[in-house]
Amino acid sequence: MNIIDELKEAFKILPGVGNRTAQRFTFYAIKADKESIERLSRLLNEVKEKIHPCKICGNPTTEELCSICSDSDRDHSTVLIVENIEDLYQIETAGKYRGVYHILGGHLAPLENITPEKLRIKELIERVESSKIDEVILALNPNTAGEVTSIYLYDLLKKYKNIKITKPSIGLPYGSTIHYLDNYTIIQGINERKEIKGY
Amino acid sequence: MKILDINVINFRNIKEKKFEFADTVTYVYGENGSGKTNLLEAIYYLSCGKSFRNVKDSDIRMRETEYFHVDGTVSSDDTKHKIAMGMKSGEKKIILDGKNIKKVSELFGVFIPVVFSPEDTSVINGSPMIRRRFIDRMIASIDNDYIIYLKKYNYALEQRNKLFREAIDNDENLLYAYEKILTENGIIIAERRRETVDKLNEIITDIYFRITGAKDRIFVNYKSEFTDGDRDDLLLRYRNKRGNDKLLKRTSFGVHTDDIQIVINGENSRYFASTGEKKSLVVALRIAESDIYNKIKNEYPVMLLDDIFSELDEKRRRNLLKFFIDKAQVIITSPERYDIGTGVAYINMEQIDG
Repeated sequence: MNIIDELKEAFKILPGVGNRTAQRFTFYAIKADKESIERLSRLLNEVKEKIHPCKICGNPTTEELCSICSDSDRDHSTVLIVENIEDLYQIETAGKYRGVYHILGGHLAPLENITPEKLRIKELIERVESSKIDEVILALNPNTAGEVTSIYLYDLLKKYKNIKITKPSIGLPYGSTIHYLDNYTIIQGINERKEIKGY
Repeated sequence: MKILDINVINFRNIKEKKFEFADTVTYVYGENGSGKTNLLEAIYYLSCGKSFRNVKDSDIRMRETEYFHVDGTVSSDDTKHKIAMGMKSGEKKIILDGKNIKKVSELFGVFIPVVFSPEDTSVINGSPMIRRRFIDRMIASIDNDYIIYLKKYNYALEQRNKLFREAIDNDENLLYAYEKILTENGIIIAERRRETVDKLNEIITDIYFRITGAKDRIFVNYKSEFTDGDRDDLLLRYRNKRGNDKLLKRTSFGVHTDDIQIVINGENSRYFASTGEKKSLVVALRIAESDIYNKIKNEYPVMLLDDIFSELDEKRRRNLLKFFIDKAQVIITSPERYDIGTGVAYINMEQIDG
C-alpha cells in the first residue's frame, strides 16, 4: 500500500467518514500548505499524549482535574451522570446546570459485551462514599438501554439514604405539535405531568 | 382504507406492470403460476416492507435482475398517500409522500391490508409464536404505541438471555434491571392481548356461523403466565426462575411464552379441528380482525382474498362476500373467473406481460 492509500485508510477510522470523504481528505492533505498540516498532526499527537480522563468525573482534560471539577463556584454536591462526553458537552452548552458530572462511558448492554465493569460504575460508588454528595441525577439516554442502566444505578445508590436520586423528566418536546407525536411520547408526557403553581 | 393503484417491477414473476383497483371489488384471475398471489404479495409489501409468505427480500427480486420496486397510491379517510419501496444492491429504500424513511415502523398505520389465505392454516397449526404474531399485528394496527412495548420487552429479553448464555449472570442487580423492564412492559403487553382476545370472543362465534352455517362454539383462549398478579409478584417469579433459566440458558417466564388457543366446541382446534374447519376458522379470524379494526378506526382494512373461492362452495362464497361488499375494498384472486355480480373490475393475469 502506498502512502496515499494508507492515508486514505487512516482517515476512515473517523466516525462518519467513508471512502469518498476519506479520499477528499487525502487530496486536501496533499494540496494544503505545510503549516496547517503540521498543526493538525501536532494536535493529533498531543491529544493522545496530553489528554486523559479527569480523575473525578472522566471528562477529558490536560490537568489532573477537569475545568468543571476544579471550579470552586460549581455545586460539587450535585452529580449528573451521563453516558458520554458528547452528552456532557451538550448540557454545558445549554448552560444553567451548575453541578458537576460523572461520565459512565456508555450504557449497559451485555449483547454488545458492555457489562457493569466496563463502565465507570466502580468509580462512581467510590466517589459517592468518599465525598459529600446530596443529589445524583441519572441523565442517561431516554431509551431502553438507558433505562436499564438507570435501574441498575438506582439499585446500587439507594442504600445511601442521604442522597436524593433524580432523573430528568420525559415528555413533550418543545417546539413540536401534539398532533404529530407518537402515542408513547404523549403517554409519558401525561404520566410525568406536574402541578402548575402559577404562571 | 383503499389502494388505488400499484406499479410493480421485477417483483417475483411480475416484470413490469401497473394495476388499478376498483373501489369495491377487484377480481384477479389466471392459471396457477400467472402471478396472482405475487400481486397480493406486492400490495402487502407496500404496507410493511415484508412478504406475508415469510420470505427474504432476496427471494422477492426476480431472478437475473438487479433490483425490484413497488409503488402505489393508498387512501385512508380521503387522505391520499404515495408509498414507494424497493431494493437495489442489497439496500432497501422506502419513500412516503416523496420523503425518504429510515425505518419501516414509521410507515405503520398508513396502509393496512388483511390477507385471507385459507391454505395457510399456520395460525391454527403452527407454533404459539405465529399466534402471538397474529394477535400482536392486530393490536399494533390499532394502537401505534404497542410496538414500542414489544420492542422494549424483546430488547430486555435478548439481553437477559445473553447473560445466561455466556454464564455472566452473577450480577443480581443487572438481572433485576432487565426483569424490571420485562415486568413493566410485559404487564402492558398481556393487558392489551387480553383486551383484544376479549374483543375477538365477542364476535368470533357469530362470524363463524355466518360463514359456515354451523352452530359451533368458538372460543379464543389467551394463555399467559402473566396473570393479573401485581408487579412485585411478577418480579419475584423472575427472580425464582433464575436458577432454572441458568440451566436452560434462556428466560423461561414471561409474555414471550404466551399462547392464544383457538378452541372449537371445547377442544383445541390445533389438534381436533378438521381441515375444513381449520380453513373456516382462519377466514373467521381474519374477518374478526377486520371488524375490530373497523370498530375502532371507522374504516375497514383492504381485504386481500388469496384463492379463497375455490375452497368454498357457492353458498359460503356469497356469505363471505356479504361481510365486505359495500363496506371494504376487496381484492380477490382465483384460478377461474366466477361471475360475482356487478360493479366488479376484472384483471386477467394471463394477459399480462412478464
